[in-house]
Amino acid sequence: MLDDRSQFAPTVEKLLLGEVICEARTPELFQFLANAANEDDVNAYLSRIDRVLRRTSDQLAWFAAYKDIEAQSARSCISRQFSEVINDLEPLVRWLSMTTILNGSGASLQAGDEIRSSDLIRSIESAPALCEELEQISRYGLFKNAQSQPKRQLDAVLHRLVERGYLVTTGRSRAKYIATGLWSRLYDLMSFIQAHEQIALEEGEDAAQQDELQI
Amino acid sequence: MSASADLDKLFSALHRHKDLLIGAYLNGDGFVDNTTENGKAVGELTKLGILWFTDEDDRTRMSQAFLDICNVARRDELRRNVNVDIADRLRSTEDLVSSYRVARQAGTEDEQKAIFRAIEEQVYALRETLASTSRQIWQEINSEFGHVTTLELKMQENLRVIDRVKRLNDNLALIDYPTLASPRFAGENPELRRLFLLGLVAAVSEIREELVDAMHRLEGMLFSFRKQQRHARLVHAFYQRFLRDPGFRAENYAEQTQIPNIINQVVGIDVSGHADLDNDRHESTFTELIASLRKRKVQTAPSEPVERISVIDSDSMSSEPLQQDPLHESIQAFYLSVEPGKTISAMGLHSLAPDACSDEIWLYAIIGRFNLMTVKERGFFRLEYVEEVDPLFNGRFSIKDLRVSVRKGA
Repeated sequence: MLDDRSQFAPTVEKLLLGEVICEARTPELFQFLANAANEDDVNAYLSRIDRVLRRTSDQLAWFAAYKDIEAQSARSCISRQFSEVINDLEPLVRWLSMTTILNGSGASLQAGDEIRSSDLIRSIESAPALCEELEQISRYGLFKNAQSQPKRQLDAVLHRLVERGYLVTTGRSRAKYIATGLWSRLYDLMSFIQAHEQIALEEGEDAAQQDELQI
Repeated sequence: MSASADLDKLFSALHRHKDLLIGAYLNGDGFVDNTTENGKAVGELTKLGILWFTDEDDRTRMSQAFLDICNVARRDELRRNVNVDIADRLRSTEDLVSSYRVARQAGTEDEQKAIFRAIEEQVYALRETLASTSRQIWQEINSEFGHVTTLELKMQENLRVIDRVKRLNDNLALIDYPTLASPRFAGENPELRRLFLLGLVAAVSEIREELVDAMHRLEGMLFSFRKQQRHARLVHAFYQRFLRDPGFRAENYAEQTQIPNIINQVVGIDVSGHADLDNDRHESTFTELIASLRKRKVQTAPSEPVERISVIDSDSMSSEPLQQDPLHESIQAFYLSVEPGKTISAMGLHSLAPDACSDEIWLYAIIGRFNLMTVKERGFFRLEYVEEVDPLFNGRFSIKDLRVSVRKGA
């Protein structure tokens, strides 16, 4: 087993590469940061190069942020990155909405959740509304693909999510996926957008009850 | 006998005597009447620790652990609450202690012993009840309320267990050290002090710690469930918004004067490094890397018979000037065309380059010539790069043009 010190450099590297550190992607680095002394060490190092260590509100992922967000270089980088989130928001929300329905527990996808493509396709193929939804999200934007069969469309969507770091594959068959901490980061950003764009949250209502997508 | 054989024996006994046990649990309030018909069964179950003999009457009682298993199986909430009703058990213990004191003054030794055994049994049952309740709570926590599937129900279960932990904790407050040390319980009697102040206090303290941990864990789980619920509501709200308002696009808040901190996240930078060729310790790694490189076949011209060079007396031949490289001459002409106080552009004077010389080679050649200049020559010229940020790879620049001027004072 690697000792704590040997995890310092890979942790800092991942953070500087703009990656999110979570249990699913890099469990050893996530554990390393769980130690308060290591967290302080990493933060002190980042601080010297004008960056800070941050954690998502559900505590499931770490990432680096700029110390001085008013610096022009930082502003343009933040703007570029946020712009990507805005562009991908609709397909990601539609995907989340689909998986929430398929999950059946009323909870949306969280970092650490397991997804089996075989389970997903079985449920999707038995629900025409979900087939239609999959077809729609496969037509444009982030998940655009030229497939016509639900199974192939789903594979393309999952492949894209792995490419973008939202899922990691697990097991030899590569048919099992784990949701990463990028979803936690996305929820934090959605929360911010929701408050500022005045998107009403229906408190008390079971969110799983999505009339438009009744199975 | 192996552990497996013990368990086999236990389960087969439970199977054989299930009617007796179910009857005792449902109708006998946990007691089994000793009759000639069930004597053998009672004996066997007593040996296995499922039943135990009470001294007061000729009856056998189910052990607390087995009662708890039955309660869990039936999910009999009412019974569990009765179990944790420590106040009742304490009251009956207090009564027994009072009888014990009377017996010590006026009763026989046998009476004293019998009452003391009853007190011991009460204290033991109390400890077992507390430990069993704590175990049940932890079982529910560890299962993460797996017996219910929806988030809503998990939250309800979580709140119910929190309530139970609070009630149990309140009950434990009744068994504090001063109460147990008081004449109502231990008083000055050494045997009672050992019973109440050593065993019971230690058990209560251990369970208190377990409850604090349980509460902490339950609150953490509740926080997580509430977070998940909020996330699901967010997804639902955004989904509705995209349906109602196709093409909805949030504003880019990073372009506001004051950037909200929540959207602050770094864009990746290149953190790769170069090989440290001077480091001896890396030598073997470099050797391996080089050895693993794919060998590229060097294109060689077909071997032709080489003519022997005939050496001729130099005096007898006329000298012939060497053919100059046209690019070399063009670069020379480029640098010589700079006039003091003026700046020339490499791309502006591309016409000086030989035919078929690409922009890239032209620029490289000018830079190469500058790099080959002596210190004295460099003192004459100033070379500036006209760069553009690479649209794809951040941190990289491509040179689009070069500006050359004569240094001031040269």
